[in-house]
Amino acid sequence: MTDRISAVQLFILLTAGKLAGLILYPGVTDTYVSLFSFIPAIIIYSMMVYFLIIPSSMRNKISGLLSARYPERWLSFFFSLYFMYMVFLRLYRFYRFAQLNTTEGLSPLFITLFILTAAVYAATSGSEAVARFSGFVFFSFLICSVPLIYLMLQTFDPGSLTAISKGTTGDTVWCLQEIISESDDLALMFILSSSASGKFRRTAMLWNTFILISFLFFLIIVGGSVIDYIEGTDYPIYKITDSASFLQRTAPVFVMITILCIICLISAELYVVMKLPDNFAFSGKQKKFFIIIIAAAVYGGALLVIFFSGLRDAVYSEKVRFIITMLFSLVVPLISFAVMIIKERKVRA
Amino acid sequence: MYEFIASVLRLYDKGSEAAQKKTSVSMKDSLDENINLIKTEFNNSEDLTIHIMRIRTTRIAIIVIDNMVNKDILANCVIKPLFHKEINSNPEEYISGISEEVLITDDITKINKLEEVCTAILSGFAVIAVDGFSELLSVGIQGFQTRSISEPESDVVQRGSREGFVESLRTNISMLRRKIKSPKLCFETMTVGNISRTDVGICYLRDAVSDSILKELKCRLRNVDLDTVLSAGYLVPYLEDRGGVSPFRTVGVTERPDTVCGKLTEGRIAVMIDGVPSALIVPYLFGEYFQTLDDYSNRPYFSVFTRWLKFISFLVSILLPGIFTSLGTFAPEMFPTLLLNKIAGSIGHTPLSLTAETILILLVYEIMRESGLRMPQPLGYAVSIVGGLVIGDTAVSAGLIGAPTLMVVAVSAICSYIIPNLYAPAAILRLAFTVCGGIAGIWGVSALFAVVLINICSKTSFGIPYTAPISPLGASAFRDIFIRAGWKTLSAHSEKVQDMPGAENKEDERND
Repeated sequence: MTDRISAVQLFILLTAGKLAGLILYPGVTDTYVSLFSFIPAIIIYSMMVYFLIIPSSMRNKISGLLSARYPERWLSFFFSLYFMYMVFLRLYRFYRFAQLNTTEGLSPLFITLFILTAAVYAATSGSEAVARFSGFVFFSFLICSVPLIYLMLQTFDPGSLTAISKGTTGDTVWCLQEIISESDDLALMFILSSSASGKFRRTAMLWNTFILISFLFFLIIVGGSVIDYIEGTDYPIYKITDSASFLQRTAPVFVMITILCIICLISAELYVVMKLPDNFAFSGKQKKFFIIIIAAAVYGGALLVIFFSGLRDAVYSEKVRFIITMLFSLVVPLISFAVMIIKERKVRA
Repeated sequence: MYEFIASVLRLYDKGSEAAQKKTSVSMKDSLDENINLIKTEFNNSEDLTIHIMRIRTTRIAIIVIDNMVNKDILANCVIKPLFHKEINSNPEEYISGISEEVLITDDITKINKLEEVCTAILSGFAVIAVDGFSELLSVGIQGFQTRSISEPESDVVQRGSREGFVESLRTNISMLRRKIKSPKLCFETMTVGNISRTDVGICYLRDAVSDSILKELKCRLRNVDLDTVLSAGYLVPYLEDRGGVSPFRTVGVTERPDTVCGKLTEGRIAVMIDGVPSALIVPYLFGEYFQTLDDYSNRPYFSVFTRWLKFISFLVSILLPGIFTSLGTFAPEMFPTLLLNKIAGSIGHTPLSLTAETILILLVYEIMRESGLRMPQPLGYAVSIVGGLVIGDTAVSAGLIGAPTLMVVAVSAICSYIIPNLYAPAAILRLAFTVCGGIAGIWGVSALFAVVLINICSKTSFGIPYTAPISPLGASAFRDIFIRAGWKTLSAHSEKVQDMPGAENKEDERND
């Protein structure tokens, strides 16, 4: 009862994180794919998300009728590992972002650990605090977007609309793979759905559609006007603001939104990581022990990922990320749902 | 060690038992014994006045505290009628006879415990003790001096009533009664403070209030463990929900009866303390800081304008020095060229770094404000003039501080005065943002902003999300937070505080 949060809050949280991930880190770090290849990928993804969400929503639908508590212990344990994996990834990316943007005298590591501490504070404040915080961030993002888009429209090139057709099929597939790799919110949904109330499925659809369409417009408008500045750069939005003179002074706004979005995402994931020991730990003492171990692991793991490139390349290669996310966002929920049904039938028989 | 702690606990328990025995002492039949009991309890205090009279064959004592009762009423409505009372042969009916037939006042209670007697005397009642009877009469004839009703100094409105709360609880209650002439307006009183025994009044509208919130409030007030309650701030920590440290209060404070009446109709509860000219309001949400009575007196378009001014001013008051310091230190290219030239010229001629300079001016400003506030008014003006001249003119012309920095601090300070209730958190956060901006640039400011936002989001007031109805978002946010709709819309969609989004689950929990 304590952790029940409304569906709207939950989806503000999840989609704000997704939006931040997609806009700020669309995966062009290594391959320099044109931003326009994301547009068809997003259209496909926005249709796919309705199927990806089915196991979570179905499980949520019938969970109230079941006699046992799900997810089970072993599943909770692996999910907590998965979310820790995603936390390390986000921290590493934030570290890279800070490295690119910080001026002399500031340590990116210090800033990253500061962000991690803020996220831990948010996570320990409870799911409702995280959800409300995400709501604020989401609205701030929307409010800030209006003047930014207005500024960008000053150099809007109508010819850029036809550029949607640019880019190869391979690029689009790669982009789709990247977006799915970022879809840890589906896994989050699977875990949080048991503690979320409200009109879950309908709001899920609405929010996902709304966010993706917004992003689409954002790409068309921004991408068309500043495409020349994006080619071959690391972090598109930052580079847009840094290179385009009319946007140069908006960089602090982007930095602030990035930080807020990152804290949203990491805090939601950390919250789940801290709540999952409830399921797989047996007593209060064991739970406390697990939380301490997890906290140490998160801080230690963040440092390992940041400083050991070999480890990072191994566990965060494109394929590994894609497979793991698909596993925890689609396959595991689907299997869990099937197992749940079979078990329940046996119990009732 | 365990033995020691156990012995201390045993001693503590014995002390509690002794205190329990003391409070349950019954009065005696003998007048002299009763007088001795009271004198001992009051430690023969100078202002305890005991008039012992003999009316025919019966000895009667009237016990009062000097200057706490109205002497005219005491003489004409209590003492004088007593001399005309026929001695009743039936002793059991004697006290009833006095209270029903003799005394010409309406607030009469029979008491027979020492604690009740002491409380009555200390509250300004006259206590009548009759020889041969263990029951005493407390007669409400309070007559101490009180301040007359005047306009509140810290809660001023442009249009609206000029009445402000006074120190007397009864007068405050009557002010609310005059504004809401409904039998649904309920008052309950409790006593708080182990030594001061201060009366605390709880006020609510019966049909509007949430029963669970009212129950929770009473429970929290019963658990107050204070010796004295001398101002509203004493009770605030006991009325707030459990949670971490926060610069923001989840209990509202107002000096205006009309504001309290408005809040009562929304299902809130007012807590008034005897001797304190302000009322506490619970539950209190963050958005309420930005609402004033004038918002509802002015036309909606102007109210919307002033409300957004308040939102922006609050953000400016806490963020401006921090952002200025962070950009000036780490990203000066963000400033427009002309402004950058001015700032660069200013920083180049001052001995301190931009961060140190901003912190210094902020501290000097706070010192000046505090000294101006505490000094007698004529001296306060002098402090302001000297401070303004020294800081504003001399320090800049001497090259000790830069004019842009002074300007930033001044704008930030003026903005923080637009919402007086938020001054304390704004002053602290302003300083914190400046330090973070100076150390870690815009990254530090952003991270601290996130922490402050999380802090606000994690708070609840009596189980209602502190940030409601903004997050979780409710329709009322578009009627009375972001904008102020017209009265026709507001009255058609009046919403109680317990119906705020996000409060449902907590309501269920409380009911469980």
